[in-house]
Amino acid sequence: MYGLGLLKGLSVTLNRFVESYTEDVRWLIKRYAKVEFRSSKDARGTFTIEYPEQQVIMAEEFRVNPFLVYDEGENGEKNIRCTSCGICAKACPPQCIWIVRSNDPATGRPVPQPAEFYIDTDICMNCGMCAEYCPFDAIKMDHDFEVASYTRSLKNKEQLMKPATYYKSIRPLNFAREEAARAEKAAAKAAKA
Amino acid sequence: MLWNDLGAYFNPALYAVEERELMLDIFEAVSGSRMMCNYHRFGGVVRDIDPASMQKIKDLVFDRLPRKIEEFERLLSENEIFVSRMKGIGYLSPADCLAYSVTGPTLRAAGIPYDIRRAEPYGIYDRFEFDIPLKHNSDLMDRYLVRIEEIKQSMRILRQALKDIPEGPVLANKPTYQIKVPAGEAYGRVEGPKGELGYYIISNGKGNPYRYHIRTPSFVNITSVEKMCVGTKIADFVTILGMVDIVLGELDR
Ligand code: SF4
Ligand code: SF4
Repeated sequence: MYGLGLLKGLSVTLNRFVESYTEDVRWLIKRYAKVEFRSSKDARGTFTIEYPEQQVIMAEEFRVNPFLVYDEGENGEKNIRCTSCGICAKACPPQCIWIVRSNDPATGRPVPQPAEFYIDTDICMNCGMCAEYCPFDAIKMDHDFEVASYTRSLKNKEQLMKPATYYKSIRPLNFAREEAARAEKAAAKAAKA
Repeated sequence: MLWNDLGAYFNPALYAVEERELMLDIFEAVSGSRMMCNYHRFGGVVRDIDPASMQKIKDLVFDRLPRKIEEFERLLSENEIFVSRMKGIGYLSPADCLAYSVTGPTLRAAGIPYDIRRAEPYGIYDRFEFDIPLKHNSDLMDRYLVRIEEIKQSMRILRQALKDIPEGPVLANKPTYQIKVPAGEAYGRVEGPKGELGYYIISNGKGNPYRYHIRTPSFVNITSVEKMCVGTKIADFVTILGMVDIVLGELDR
């Protein structure tokens, strides 16, 4: 019969239409659990996530804009992990990292700490190469994606520095893995000595 | 795209976007970014798939997507408006397909079983069992049916891949961000959803390529639009264009 295929198609649409309401009622109270459900294989009903009230579940590997990790010392000093080796600046495809090495004012010898560290986050394409190739786990990718701004955002060392505890909070698995690798290395070194 | 052009305003397209969204969620969990995955490295990939994502992939492939494809077919394949707008429209003879270097579903709907995964198997495609969907009328309806069938074949490949996916290291050599390629030239091609996607590189022995060209399927396929359109109604133009399935990023060569 002519029109049967049409009705068949429309039944799908109607089903979806009804579902979008029944699902809304089902999640009326636990609106935040709905996001989890929407990302699962059984997702039904309205698919849109109402940002900023709701947010998608952020994956650990999600990456935007790098930051510099520092370890907190006992009396609050910031021990930056970066040794200004420059590998990240070389690996960076759009070349948006600038590092100024520092010298000891007394002896004039270079010290393994950057005097200045700039990342032009407007040019940065969030590829994650710098974090991947840094041999000291000193530069890592952030989770903070709300980076819109009215001005150019060239970030300097102060703005880029974030504590290791923050890094642990956003990437617990990676952090644990790196800590384990470091501990192993230290143990191997101690055994040798 | 096409369904939008046909006046089924946004509904079918958005239903498909839901599934795409779930897949992109997996991309994001595995590689860190939805679109700019940056997942491949020289000699492997950057990291292994985590167990949670693996489970999600399996859920999608074995459970959700078959259901959704079925729903999709129910929605569209027999729809009279849809069929009458597509049957017999946009004919392109097999000879013209070859003359215009058309690849992908358009070529296969013209009865030419050309798929690089079979013609010149790359990767591990020689290990999978799959059919090349083939139709002979070379009109829009056939191109649509070929595409739907291709989704099912892709699912079949995925099921085989998921069954046999091995454990082990994901990167063969030491991670490097740049490699020195010996001087010379190379052309590599894969079968994309829209046709043959080829990369042509000339190296002069330095770290960066000397010349680099991408052969995108959309760019080549769209040249055949004229041939398909001549003699049809103006209103059919949008349908034909929609069925070529262009991506503007690929057209901008
Ligand atoms: S962030 Fe890492 S790779 Fe970059 S200069 Fe510092 S130590 Fe080297
Ligand atoms: S994420 Fe990529 S583009 Fe951004 S600073 Fe790091 S290497 Fe450069």
